[in-house]
Amino acid sequence: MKRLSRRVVLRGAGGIAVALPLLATDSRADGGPSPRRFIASYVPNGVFTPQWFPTPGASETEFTLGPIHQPLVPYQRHLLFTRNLDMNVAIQGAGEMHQRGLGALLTGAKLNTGTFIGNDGSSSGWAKGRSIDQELVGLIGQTRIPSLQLGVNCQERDVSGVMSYSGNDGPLLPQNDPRVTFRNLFMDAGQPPQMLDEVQRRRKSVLDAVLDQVGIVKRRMGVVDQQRLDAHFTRVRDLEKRVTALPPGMCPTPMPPGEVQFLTEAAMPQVAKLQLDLVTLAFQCDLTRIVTIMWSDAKNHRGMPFLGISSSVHNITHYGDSDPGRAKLLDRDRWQMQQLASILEGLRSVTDANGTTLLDNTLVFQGSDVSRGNVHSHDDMPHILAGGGGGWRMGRFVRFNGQNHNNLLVSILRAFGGTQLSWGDPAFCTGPLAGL
Amino acid sequence: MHMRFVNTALSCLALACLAGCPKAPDPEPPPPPMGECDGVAERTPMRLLTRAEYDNTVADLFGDTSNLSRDFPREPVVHGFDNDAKSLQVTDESVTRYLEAAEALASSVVSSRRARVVPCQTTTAACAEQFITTTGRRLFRRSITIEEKAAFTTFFNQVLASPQATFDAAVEWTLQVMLQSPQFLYRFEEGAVPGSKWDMRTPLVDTELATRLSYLLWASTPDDALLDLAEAGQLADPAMLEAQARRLLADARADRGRMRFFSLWLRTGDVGGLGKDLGTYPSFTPALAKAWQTSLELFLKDSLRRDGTLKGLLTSDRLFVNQLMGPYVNQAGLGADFSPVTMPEPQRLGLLTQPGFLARLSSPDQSSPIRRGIFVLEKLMCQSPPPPPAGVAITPPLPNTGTTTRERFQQHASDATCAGCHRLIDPVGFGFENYDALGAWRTTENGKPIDASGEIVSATDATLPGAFTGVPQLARRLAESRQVHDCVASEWTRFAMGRDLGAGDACSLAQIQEGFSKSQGRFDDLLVAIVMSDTFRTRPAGVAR
Repeated sequence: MKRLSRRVVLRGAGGIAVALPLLATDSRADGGPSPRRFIASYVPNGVFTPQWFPTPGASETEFTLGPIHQPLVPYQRHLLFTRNLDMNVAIQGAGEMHQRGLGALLTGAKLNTGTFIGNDGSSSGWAKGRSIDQELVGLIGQTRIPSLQLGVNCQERDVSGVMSYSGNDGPLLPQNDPRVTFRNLFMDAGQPPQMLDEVQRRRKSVLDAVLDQVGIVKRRMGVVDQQRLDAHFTRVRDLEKRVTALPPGMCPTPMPPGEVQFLTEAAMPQVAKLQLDLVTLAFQCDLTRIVTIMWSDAKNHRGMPFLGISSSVHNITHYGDSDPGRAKLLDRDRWQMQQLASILEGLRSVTDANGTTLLDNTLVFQGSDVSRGNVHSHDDMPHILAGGGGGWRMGRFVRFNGQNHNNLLVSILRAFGGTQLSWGDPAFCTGPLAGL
Repeated sequence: MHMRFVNTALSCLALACLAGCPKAPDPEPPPPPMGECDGVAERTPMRLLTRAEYDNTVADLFGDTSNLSRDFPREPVVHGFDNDAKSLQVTDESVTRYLEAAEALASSVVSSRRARVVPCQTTTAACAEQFITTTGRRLFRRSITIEEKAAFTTFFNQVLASPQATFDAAVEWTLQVMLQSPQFLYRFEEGAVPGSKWDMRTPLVDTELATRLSYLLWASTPDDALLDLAEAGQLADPAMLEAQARRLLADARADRGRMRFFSLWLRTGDVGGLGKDLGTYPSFTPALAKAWQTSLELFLKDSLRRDGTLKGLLTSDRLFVNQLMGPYVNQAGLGADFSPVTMPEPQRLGLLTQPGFLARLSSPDQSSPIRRGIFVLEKLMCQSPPPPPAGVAITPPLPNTGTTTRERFQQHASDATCAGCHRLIDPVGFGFENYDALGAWRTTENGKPIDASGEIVSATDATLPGAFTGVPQLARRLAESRQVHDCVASEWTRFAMGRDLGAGDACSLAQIQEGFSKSQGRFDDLLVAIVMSDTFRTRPAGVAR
């Protein structure tokens, strides 16, 4: 019997209100294996490196968290910190350092040439390859929503504002509006069954009629446009499955969030809470198993007024290590750890099959585009992994001695059943990481 | 027809090549007459409607002005524009939004504007057929094919045959199908001679050309008159095509098309959401930023309506102000509404001195000579400076109370590795120093007098380089420059095509630039020149389509 823990229900204040009582039980209550989930989280522009890495102890498991990571202390045994993992693929190529790092974070690929202008005036196109979250759709994503791309005040609509790619030149921009995230997840939730049945029948017949035109419209188009139409009809076919599937019956029916000024700096904490509550609910209801979330974009000319950062976080990342203005970056980094802790708290609060929690069955990967913002380095990336979804031994601080970031990406895929030995640009991948 | 070799240096510059500081090009021979460009046409992938195009289309066809696309996924922005054909692709999210929009629209049209889609009063099969053919034609921007008509008729009759279904329900459902069909959501282009491997260019089918024309000039769908002419095969006649372009430009809907370009080119949409540092500017409020945006949009519309030239845009003496903006532009006694005032030189002249424009090209806490300089070089001269060398920490100097912005940025760019390009950018931006980060006029900063002397260091056009003092002098010089006219022409052509311009566009672009220049920089003549160009009227033929 799956139950909604009291904690989630009570998270209502400022977040998603959940209507009780619960209506149904989980189909997995018979003891079948729990589905596994993946979250990738992007924090822009590097971190305050002098205080970032934990203090190592006598063994991998005996590390001490520093001041930035205090919000994560309750989750230490679920965390895996990396040291000396290098994002070499982003050191050179089209685009500026932030764009390259964001583009490569999940794709392991370089950027195409193009006309996006970076902070420093350099230019690039979109990333050259698919991101691992989209690859994971084929491995674990057979759900109502194959994957969710979310943002919190992610304003840029170019290569600086995208972490997920369906493939080369296939950007998937994040959704910043919790109201729309809600609609994507719970389109028909709350409709009375008879009415829902009627709506679903109508939608099916309308979409069938749309799909019936495949042969008519494709006939005389060129090769490239035929591919576009194929992609279009595939999306419509998936939409039809989505709108005719049973509503998420084993879930609480949440109330839709109200209007939020979601593309404003001041609303970031509120938007974060709403989006993260929806992620927890989406996992709980098994509406999706794959989420990427961007905490603003790689240009990040935004303040965080709730932290007393009125100008631009990006500027603050550029100050020298001993510049007093850099203390604000410490605040920002700690705030991001609170958000990560919120993600983990949400996951831990929901009981999954066999007495586990969502946290046991989810792998969270948080990373940035550069390591040190003031020199734009790509060595020793400040990655954090969390949760038991990868089947890895957690609660560790592991040195990787200059191995490639792409090795981590292929390791993540393999942890979810992938069989590939390389990911992204093959010149920057030597195979899965050992010892995870 | 004659072959024409692309002059790499000039086309690179005209297409905003970013590879390096430009060199002076060889002189160009005059372009061939319209219709005589040769070489392989560049391919434009089939284009998905943008949110603005979707809304305008349903407004024009059905009178629906409810901003249905409000929650559609935001378009990727490429080169500043939202219509990049390659990047704009459907996602799971967008097809969901199309479904929601189709349901909302079909329901509201059938219940309150039924005559817009059903041109008859009966509920007969003949009336159903009329609905399918007329509404199908409007939505697909061409007469529907026999197969499409058969498919929609079958669907309509199936709905009608279901229990309790009414004629209007069948209309509503069929409308939903049409609104979610790719033929509506995309602009299909096959070309008039499909299948030929050997032709390098094929003219568009007339209805396809009509669609390109209306989405460029109206940001919306063709009207019945344009479709009628296209289906009568008359748009292939250049005189008729030009006459139709002029007709569309004379229509009020053309304001939307022109403003679409200007709002993206100038990023006016970003102005209303600007934030400023309250420590430096305690009087700033979000309402002021919204006023800036309204003021800038009113300025653009006014300049386009009264004058319509690039020179006019750069040298208009008008400014639209209300009581919120008054204190920053030395105007008293204003109300909540915006009214035009004539601003004296040297304080204000033209686009480059609009408060919203200046505020956007500023930091939250200080003016930004770099961003202002880059705007002039990149958007008006198509001369993008190369990026800073790798590994350089890029930190704008912090504002402080003892120095002027100019002094701080001069210090900043003294580094030898930065100076190479900042010596091109900063002198242009320093000429804007009479305007602070709120776009307000100032003659001193931190008690020191403002030095608004600037310089254009290098340009293709020999009339551009040289010293100037203050923006009005700069604006007058830019307004007379052929390079600036060529630059704006290439920006608008890029926007018209929804893709980067390539070698196959060089000949057409030269014609367009020539046309714009000859017309004394009239924007409507630029648009007509784009419409008449081979790039606009043709597409690649054969398997490479």
